[in-house]
Amino acid sequence: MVETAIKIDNVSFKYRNADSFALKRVTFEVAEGEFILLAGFSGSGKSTLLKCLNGLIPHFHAGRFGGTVEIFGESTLESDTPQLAKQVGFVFQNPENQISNLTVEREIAFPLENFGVPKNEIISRVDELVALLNMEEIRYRSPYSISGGEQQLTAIAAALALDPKILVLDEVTAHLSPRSAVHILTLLNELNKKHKKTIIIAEHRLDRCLNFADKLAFLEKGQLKVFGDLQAVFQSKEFPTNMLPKIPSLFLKLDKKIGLLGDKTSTIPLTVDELVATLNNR
Amino acid sequence: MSLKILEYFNYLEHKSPMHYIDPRGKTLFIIAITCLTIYLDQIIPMCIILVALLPLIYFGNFMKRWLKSLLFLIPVILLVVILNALFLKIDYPTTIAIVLGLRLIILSGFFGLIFQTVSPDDISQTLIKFKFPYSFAWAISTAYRFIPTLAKETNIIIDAQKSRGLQIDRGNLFKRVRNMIPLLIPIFATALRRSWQLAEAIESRGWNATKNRTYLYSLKLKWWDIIVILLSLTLFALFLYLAIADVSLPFWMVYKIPERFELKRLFLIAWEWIKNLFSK
Repeated sequence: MVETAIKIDNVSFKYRNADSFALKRVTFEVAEGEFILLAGFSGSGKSTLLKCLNGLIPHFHAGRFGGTVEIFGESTLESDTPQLAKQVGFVFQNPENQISNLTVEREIAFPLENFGVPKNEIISRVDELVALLNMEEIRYRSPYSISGGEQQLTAIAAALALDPKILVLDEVTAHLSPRSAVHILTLLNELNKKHKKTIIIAEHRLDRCLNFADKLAFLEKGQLKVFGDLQAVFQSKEFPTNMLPKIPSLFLKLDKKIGLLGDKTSTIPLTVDELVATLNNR
Repeated sequence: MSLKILEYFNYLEHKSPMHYIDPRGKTLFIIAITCLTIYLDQIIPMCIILVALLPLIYFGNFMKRWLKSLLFLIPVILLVVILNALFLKIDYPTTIAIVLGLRLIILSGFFGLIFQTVSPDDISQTLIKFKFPYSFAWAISTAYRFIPTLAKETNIIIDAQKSRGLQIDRGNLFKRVRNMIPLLIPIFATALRRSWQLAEAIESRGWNATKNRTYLYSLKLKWWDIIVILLSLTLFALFLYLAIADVSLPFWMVYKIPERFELKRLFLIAWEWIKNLFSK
């Protein structure tokens, strides 16, 4: 029986001084070990939704908050962000603005220090994470002297330091070069499959995550339009066609022209291999 | 140029033996040596301090940078020495003027050495040891961490505004100051936004989750630090003894530039000579 990791129930939020609600009655559940992709145009409330998961909303950002968010049965209204850090690791969009320590190693140790972990345990935990994420070369470097991808890697390591079961990532590849973006996403896939982390990632470029995401949530103007596995979402009428990744988009266009899909029950190919297989089987 | 001289007083990450000395020991040492240097007013004790400084600077990997910074200081030092030698209304003005010059050289060496070998992290760790709140110590090291980031961003903003036609270095002073406004607003706006994002980030990393915070690294006094501290205390005691007991220095330490080499006299001789040259 898989446990429910995140339970979002009827959540609405309006920032103070804002005219309209950033989130409107969002409801969904995430099971432990799932890889969730959060899609939506700019300003659709992706970041706001993610900030609800570790209590930054409503504890850090003031505003009108309604509904409940439960992390493994623990309501975010009762425990604030620092307490939730043990359950939820959060990585932000801008790698530069989330590293506050003078070396990479110190940044990874920072959450452990905050929780008063004894020194020898901090050292062994940092060793572990450095080995896991292949960061030996940058371990003692200053965060300013490393590349954006390495900074984001540092931030991920720091978010993982307390061994949270859930990892929340807010457009982490937006400031990175395509190569580091692919590296980070591959790493996240590994964390999800090998280490059983539940991952929720907001991402603009869906193509890169198609082969490992379990489910997709699509937000529009603060409302959750579609939520489900990739097939269901891509076939849904609610999902905008201009947001479709390349292969499904190509397939659906071909389907419209020459009727590849036949009946509605068959699946939409997500990768090149799947597309070739579908075309061959036709 | 005025900013370039600051470069020589920046923290340098190349490890040298001086880097391993505890910042508390170094602080005590610089206090003691500064008191002593300012109190003494004879050439020979100054030279002794200068000679003692040289190996420290050598082991601190600071020699090259110190000499370069002295190149900037030489005009200032010469001015100080010459003006004081000519216009001081005391006995032996040239001696005092040379002491003033030596004092500048020594203090620039010591302070440069300290600034170069005490990292901002050392400063925050020292504050923690002296029971300052952690948030205060954290703010200091974080401010240092963001200096290069802010500098980079300021350059981007300057370039962006220039490419929109802003002329920063044109016109009179008043106009130039007014031209700074289109730079300051985006700089402050981004700095504010950054501080919000940073606050969110540290909250998410468990800021202040427990009262008893632990540290990956903390300062520990080693045997050589004890020696440095004892040495500093000795020097400070020496200064107090000299200042309070008002003892005169041993005779071999007192050397005064003789009357006939006084700078004022030499200048007058040269002046007479030039006058004679033209009156003929």
